[in-house]
Amino acid sequence: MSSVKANGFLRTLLGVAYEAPAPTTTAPAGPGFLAGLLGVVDEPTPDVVDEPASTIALTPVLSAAPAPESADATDQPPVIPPAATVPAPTAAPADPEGVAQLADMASFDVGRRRDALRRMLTSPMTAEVVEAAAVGLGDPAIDIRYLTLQVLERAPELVAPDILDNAVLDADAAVCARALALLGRVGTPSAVAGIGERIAFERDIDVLRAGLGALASLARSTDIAASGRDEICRVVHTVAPDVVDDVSSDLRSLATALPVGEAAHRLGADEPEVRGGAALLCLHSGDAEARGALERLVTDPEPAVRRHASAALRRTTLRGRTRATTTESADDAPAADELITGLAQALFDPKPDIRQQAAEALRRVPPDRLVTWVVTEAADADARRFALIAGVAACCELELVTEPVAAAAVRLAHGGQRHRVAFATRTLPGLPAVLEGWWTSTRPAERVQAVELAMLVDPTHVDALRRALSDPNAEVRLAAVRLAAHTGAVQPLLSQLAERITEDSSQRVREAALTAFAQAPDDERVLAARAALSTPFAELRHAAMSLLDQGTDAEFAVLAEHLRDDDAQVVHRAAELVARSGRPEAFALLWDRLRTTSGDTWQVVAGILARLDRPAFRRLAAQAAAGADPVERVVGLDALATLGEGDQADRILHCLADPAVDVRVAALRALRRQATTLALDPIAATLADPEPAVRCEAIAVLGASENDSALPALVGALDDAYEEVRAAAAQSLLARPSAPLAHLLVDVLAQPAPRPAATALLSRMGEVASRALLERLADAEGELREAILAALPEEELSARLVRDLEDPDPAVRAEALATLANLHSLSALEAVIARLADPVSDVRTRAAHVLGELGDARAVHALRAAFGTDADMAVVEAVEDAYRRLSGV
Amino acid sequence: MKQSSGVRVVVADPVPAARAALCRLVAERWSWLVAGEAADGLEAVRKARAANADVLLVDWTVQGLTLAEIRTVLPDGHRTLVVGLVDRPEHLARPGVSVLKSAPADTLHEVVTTQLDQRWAERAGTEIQA
Repeated sequence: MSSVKANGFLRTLLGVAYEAPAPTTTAPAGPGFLAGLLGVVDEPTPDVVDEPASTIALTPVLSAAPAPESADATDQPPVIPPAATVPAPTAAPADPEGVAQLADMASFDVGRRRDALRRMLTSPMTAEVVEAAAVGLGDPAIDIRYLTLQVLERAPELVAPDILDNAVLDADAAVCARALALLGRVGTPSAVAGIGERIAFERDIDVLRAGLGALASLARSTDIAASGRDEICRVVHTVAPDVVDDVSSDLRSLATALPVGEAAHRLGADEPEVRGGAALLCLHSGDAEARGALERLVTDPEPAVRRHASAALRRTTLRGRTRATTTESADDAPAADELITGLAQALFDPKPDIRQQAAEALRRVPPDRLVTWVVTEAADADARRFALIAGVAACCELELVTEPVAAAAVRLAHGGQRHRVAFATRTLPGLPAVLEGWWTSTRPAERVQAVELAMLVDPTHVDALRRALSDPNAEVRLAAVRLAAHTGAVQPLLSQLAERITEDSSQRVREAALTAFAQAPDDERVLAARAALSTPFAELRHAAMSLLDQGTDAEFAVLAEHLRDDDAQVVHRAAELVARSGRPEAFALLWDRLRTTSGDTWQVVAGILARLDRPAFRRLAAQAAAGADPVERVVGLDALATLGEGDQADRILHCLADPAVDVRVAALRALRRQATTLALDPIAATLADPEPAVRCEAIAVLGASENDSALPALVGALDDAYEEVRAAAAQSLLARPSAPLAHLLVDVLAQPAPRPAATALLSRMGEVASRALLERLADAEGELREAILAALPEEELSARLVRDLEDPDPAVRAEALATLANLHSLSALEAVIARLADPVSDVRTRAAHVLGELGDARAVHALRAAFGTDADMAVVEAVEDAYRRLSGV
Repeated sequence: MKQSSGVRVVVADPVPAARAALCRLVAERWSWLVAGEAADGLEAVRKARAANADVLLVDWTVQGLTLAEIRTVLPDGHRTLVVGLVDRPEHLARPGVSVLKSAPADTLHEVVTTQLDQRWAERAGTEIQA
């Protein structure tokens, strides 16, 4: 007994699944049973054409079928013949006349058409019969259309696929399903599109199953092109989620009918419909090779694609887990990591069902694999990746990984996505235990992590900061201070932070605590600055000034107070801020400070005053310069010097005769900036001032004048009684080496007192000095000559003298030899030796003398030769003397 | 041979007594002119050149300029004949004219006069040819 599955309406009655009829030649089982069940009438009338097929369709068919051969048929459970189990064509004699009549079947009345089709069920099938029968596919009567399909099923090889085009669109589901099944048997690859069009979004299970079955048949029997396979995937994608299970066997059949890997290949298609259909086919094929592609589809923009991919992965996960636990193959690890990553991403899918699927799949992954993944990923994850890691840890309740993940969170919290990291961190299981563990750790780095983690998870958790501010380790306290500033938690910690400013042992903590007060209210901020300024720590005091730039009354008071600070940098900054305050008393305050300071601070404050109110500064300066108090006059003159305005020159020059030394010095100092425009005589006259300080300042002014007319005065100052004045003159002259100066200095060489200074200056003036010395050497005599020689650089002089030894004038040669004798320069030795052959005896004599003075043994040979050859006995005697000196005889 | 009375001799010996003895020999026995005496080689050369001496009798122990250096300064072609007074026979093998101090005075006289005759003859021949 074969189990028979009926078509749709029978299924409804009997609850039996439909299966595409397979061609068979077995005799049908008892048709009478069905007639008895249905109680259908024998002869349908046109009025009942639209009645449900359940009342009409099968009775005539089944009543025409031969009785089953089995004698036990009536005793057996009712069996419904498969729709395809129609009688095979018998060897009944051909009926040409009947066939010819069939050609006009369209003109028959319904009864006759029915009869004709019944006869076709047993008659030999020819192309003419098929053609005639095909007319019935368009018959208004449903049973005739159904009967027609039965006839065509007897000879599918004779059926042209196009005659079924309308039948697959039949309004009756049974007819449609049967036509689809037949089309699957007879169709070509081009039928795929038509089938797909018919069953797309179809919700009738029978039709859908028939269509999927037809596609599977076509896939097995024909070579469907790539476009056809894409179309198959598109069609599959249209299967509604709630009927997938009902057609799962058909989908499985279709998936296996396609060549291996075809569905997996289409997981990467551009069209989402193709991807979705491929994923659904992979779901039913269980293709493990498609896992990688499926994981990528977990994040597909199309929800349906993601759903199918997640479901497919779930099935693959189960299979993969089994494989991993049985083989423990390391080759699985990378694939498992990819899988976990995909599932982790799916945890954040907009669709709840997808998230649920992902969570369930993750919980099936071996915990050790998850732990490894989490720990590895946490090592270098970014904020986005961190969310995935935390999601997996939270989903799978992996307390084992909470500590490394929390550490990663702390590290990432300093980046630009603190909120994202915080949100993910709060979901970690066992977080309080980790936090407490870090708090109580002996390692300061972990206590730092504790405070950072606490503030990350709960920015309002000020107690964590208080706890850290009391930590014995400076790094922990520093972290707490910085976090307080970063998270805006300064206000509740003001007193503690203030303590850190003055009492902390770490400079970094002190400075950080001070900086944190930038966010505090004005009063607190100023108090913090004042506290910092009261400490002995210079850097802290400098940093405190940055808190006093808001221009409040309280700040001004502190700034005014610290205009008299011992620290110049504090004073400078205070002066700037006072000036910037815009307060009317600022100018007076700064002027008052100007009167009591000096050096760099004076310059800074004066500059600030000049920028703040130049006209007022000028007025005050002029008034002060004419004041009764010498100190005031000095302040005024210095202020005028700062202004550097030429129209004040006369006023300043007048002060050159001031009875107070400081005033005269200040006047000269004031003139220095405009020295290039001044008449020099009044300045030069001050070189006679009894005070060396005045003379020094005068030298500075004359030097700044860049006027050669000042040179004689400056050179004259080289002879000053005071060393500092002489040094100032020398320094001023050295700043402007020139030919006129060099000649002046050469002249000064004649004077014993300034000679050393002049010589020193000339020796540092380079070529210009050498030229001046050599020029003067030609006619210099006595002490001057000696001084010039002493001032000339040896190499320059020797070179000059060597050239003179070749001079045509014997006197020049003789003089050069005389100079060389004094110079004791061996650089001219060879030239002197050569003079032993000089045509002039006096020159030879001098040469011998010089050689004796030089004392270099290299001259011995030449001297010995000259001793025996020179005709002049005076020369011979000189040579003898030199020889004796060299040989020590 | 030039008249003996015309020979100008400079005597050089670091030992004053020896130098005096030589001078007496030259002046009294040979009746030649002592043009100068020197204690060292440098002085000897200088005086020989200054006096245009014909003969320079030099003890080989002189300092300043050695006998060899004197012969370099006053080579063979020089006007002045350098005669070394040596102590050992092997010194006679050295370049230049030398006489053993242990030889008789006549030997010294003969050596000097023979050398002088040769020089004068060569000089005369040179002058005739010139």
